[in-house]
Amino acid sequence: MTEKITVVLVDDHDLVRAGTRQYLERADSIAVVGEAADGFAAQRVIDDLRPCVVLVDIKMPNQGGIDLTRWVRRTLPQTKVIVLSAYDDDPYIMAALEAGANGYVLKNTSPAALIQAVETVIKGGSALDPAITTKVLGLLTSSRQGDEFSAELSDRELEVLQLTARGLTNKEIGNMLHISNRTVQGHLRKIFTKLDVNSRTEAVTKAMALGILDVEYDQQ
Amino acid sequence: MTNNKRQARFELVLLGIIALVIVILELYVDVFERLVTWAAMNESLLITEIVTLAIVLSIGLSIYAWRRWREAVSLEIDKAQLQQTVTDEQDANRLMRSYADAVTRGQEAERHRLARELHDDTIQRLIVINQTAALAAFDHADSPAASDLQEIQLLLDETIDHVRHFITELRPTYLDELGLVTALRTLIKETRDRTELLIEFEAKGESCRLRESIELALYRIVQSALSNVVSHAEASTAEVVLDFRPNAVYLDITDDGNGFLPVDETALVASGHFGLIGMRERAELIGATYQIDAQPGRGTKIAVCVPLDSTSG
Repeated sequence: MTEKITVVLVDDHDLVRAGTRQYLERADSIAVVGEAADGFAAQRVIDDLRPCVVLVDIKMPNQGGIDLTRWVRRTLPQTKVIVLSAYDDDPYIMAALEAGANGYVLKNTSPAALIQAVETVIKGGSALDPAITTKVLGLLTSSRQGDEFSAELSDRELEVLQLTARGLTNKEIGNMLHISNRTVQGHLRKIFTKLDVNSRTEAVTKAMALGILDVEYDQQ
Repeated sequence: MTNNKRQARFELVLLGIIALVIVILELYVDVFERLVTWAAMNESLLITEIVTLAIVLSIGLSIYAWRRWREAVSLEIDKAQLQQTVTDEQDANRLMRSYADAVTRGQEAERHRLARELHDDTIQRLIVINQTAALAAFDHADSPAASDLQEIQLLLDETIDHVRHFITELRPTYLDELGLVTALRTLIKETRDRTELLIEFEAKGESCRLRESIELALYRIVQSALSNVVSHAEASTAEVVLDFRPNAVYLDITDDGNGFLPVDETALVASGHFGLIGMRERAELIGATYQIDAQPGRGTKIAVCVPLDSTSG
C-alpha cells in the first residue's frame, strides 16, 4: 500500500478546520495527521509530525499564515505549503507567493479541487485556485512585459514621465509643455494607475526597469 | 508680594517714618520753635509761606501713597481672578480633548470588536455552511439535488463577499495581516482613484512590522489627514512619506492646499471636526510627537515621529 500524503491543517476556526478535514478524508490518498489553531502551536505540531503538506489560513493570531509559510519553507523545505484563504485579494496572493507558498486555494473551492491541489503540490507543481490563476498570470506577466505598458502610456504621458525623470517639478513640466499645472497632475495620476505605482520615483524606476524610459544624460 | 505692592508699602512706611521723625524732632529738639524764630529774623525768605506749602504737600503725598497702596491691592485681586479664568479655560479644553480621545478610542475598540465578530463568527459560519453543501454535492454528485446545492454555494459566496465588504469598512484593509506599508499603499491608491487629487506615497528605509497599536494609529492619522485634504484643504497634490529609521519611524503628510489655522480646537469639536483632535490624540497615545504646520496659502504639513524601543516591534 502506498504511503498516504500526510497533511497538517492550520486555521483558527475550529468548524472550518473540521470541514476541511472532511474534504480531505474523501480521498484515500490523504491522511490528516495534525491540526493547529495558531501560528506558534502550528510550528510545534509541524516540527513534531513533519507532514508532506501544510494547509494554512492567512488570518491567525500569534503569527499569521504568511509568516508561518515563510517559516515552514525555510526550516522544512521538503514540506509543501498551500494557503487556504477566504480572500482572493492581490496583496494576499502576492504575499503568499513571495513567502514561498506552493499553492493558493480559496475556501469556497470544491472537495475535489482541494484534493487535486494537495496531490499537485506533492508532485512538485504549483496549485493555484482556477479563480485566481488568470489574476496571478496577469500580475506576473505585467511586471515583465514592458511593451504592454508602453503601449498603454500615451505620448503626452511619456513626455511628462521623461521630464519627471529629469527632476523637474510639476510647474516646470507644465511650463515646458505649455500646459497647466493641473493638467500635469492629471497626467501623473494616470501614469501612476497604469504603472501601478504610488510615487514619482516609483514611476520613473519602474519605467526604466521596463525599458519604457531612457534617461538622457544631457545637462539642460 | 508683587513689586507694585512692595513699593507702595515701602512708600507708605517711609512716609510714616518721616512723620515720626519730625514729631520726635519737635518733641526733643523743638525744631519748629527754632524754625519760627529764625524765620521771624529772616522775613524776606518767605519761610512761613514755604512751611505752609510744605504742610499741604505732605498731606497730598500721604493721600497719594495711600491710594497707590489701595490700587496695588486691587490689581493683585484682578490678576488672581484672571489667572483663575485662564486655568478654568485650560481645564475645559483638556476635558474636551480627553472626551474626544475617549470617544475615538471607544469607537476604535468597538469597530475592532465588530470586525472580529463578523470575521470569526459570521464569515466562518457561512464558510462552514458552504463546505457542508460542497461535501453533500460531492457525495451525491448524481442526485438531482446537486444543482440546488451548487446554487446554494453561489449565494453563499456572494453573501461572504458582502460581509467582507462590511468588515473592510470597520477595519483597515490588509493592516493586520500584511502590515502598515501595504495598507497605506492600498489606502492612497484608493483615495487617488476616488478623488481628483494627485497623492503620492513613499516608504523609505527598512520597513518592519510594528506593534499593532502603533500601526493602527499611524494608519488612522493618514486616513484623517487625507480626509481633511479631500474635504477641506482645496489642495491638488498631497504626499505621504513613511520613513523607517533605526530608532524611530517618521510619518510626514504634506499637501499644497490653502492651509488652515488649528488654533481653537474646542471650536473644531463643536463643529464636528473630530478629525484634527483625533490625530494629535492618537499620536500621543502611542508616545509619538505630533507637529502640524499650517499656513494659509502655504499648505499643510503634519509630522509624526514614533520613537522605537525594544517593545515596539
